[in-house]
Amino acid sequence: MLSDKVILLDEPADSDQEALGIMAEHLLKSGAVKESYKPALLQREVDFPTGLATENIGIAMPHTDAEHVNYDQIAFMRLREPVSFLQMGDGVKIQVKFIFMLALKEAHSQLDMLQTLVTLIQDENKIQQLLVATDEDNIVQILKDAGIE
Amino acid sequence: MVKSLMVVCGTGIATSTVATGKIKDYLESVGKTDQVKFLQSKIADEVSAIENGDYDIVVSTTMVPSAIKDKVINGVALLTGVGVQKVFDEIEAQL
Repeated sequence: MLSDKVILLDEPADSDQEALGIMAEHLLKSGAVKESYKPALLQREVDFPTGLATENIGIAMPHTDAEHVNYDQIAFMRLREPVSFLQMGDGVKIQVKFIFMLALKEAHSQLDMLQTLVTLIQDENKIQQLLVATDEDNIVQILKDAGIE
Repeated sequence: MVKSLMVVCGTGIATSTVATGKIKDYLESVGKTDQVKFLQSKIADEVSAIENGDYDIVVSTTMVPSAIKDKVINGVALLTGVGVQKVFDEIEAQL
């Protein structure tokens, strides 16, 4: 899931769409997704927002249909300053610091990984580690230790 | 009687899968898994079925049209962990 190492740290972005666009471009460059992934993902975020406010931090988990994906991959972005996303389910505006962009080749194939990711975002200790990590390898290691790979 | 429990999200891929897993884990812990038949889909495909009352219980991790809002349990807490017991309570109340 992390083999392409699309890890972007302290990225400056002014909006959710800008941040998502940058990440989708990286996934396109790495080969994990098709040309159609970025427009599909951006539109989907408008139709079905993916922000999630946990006890500790605001995150977003953008994704789109499997047909736009070549192989499974997760991209991670730590924003320099939080940007506004709408929350999944209720559309409330929240401030997001971490984005986990999912490129999933098959529906329902990644339940364990997804559950691990949801557990991770609720773990204050792991969130703190991701906040202070200094480089890409560091982030990959934290995510792998948490069971995401 | 076994109740049908439909879990919907925007794509039917990611968050409904996680939400389904969380609900399964919970129902197992209270010994009620066999009372539920799990279904998963994307909201766009299910609006009319939900409106018709085709499912006994509906949980959504995405925004649903206002016409069906009253028939749907908001399952976002299954992902954030904030207020998750309330979601389980709402599901159990419909079993």
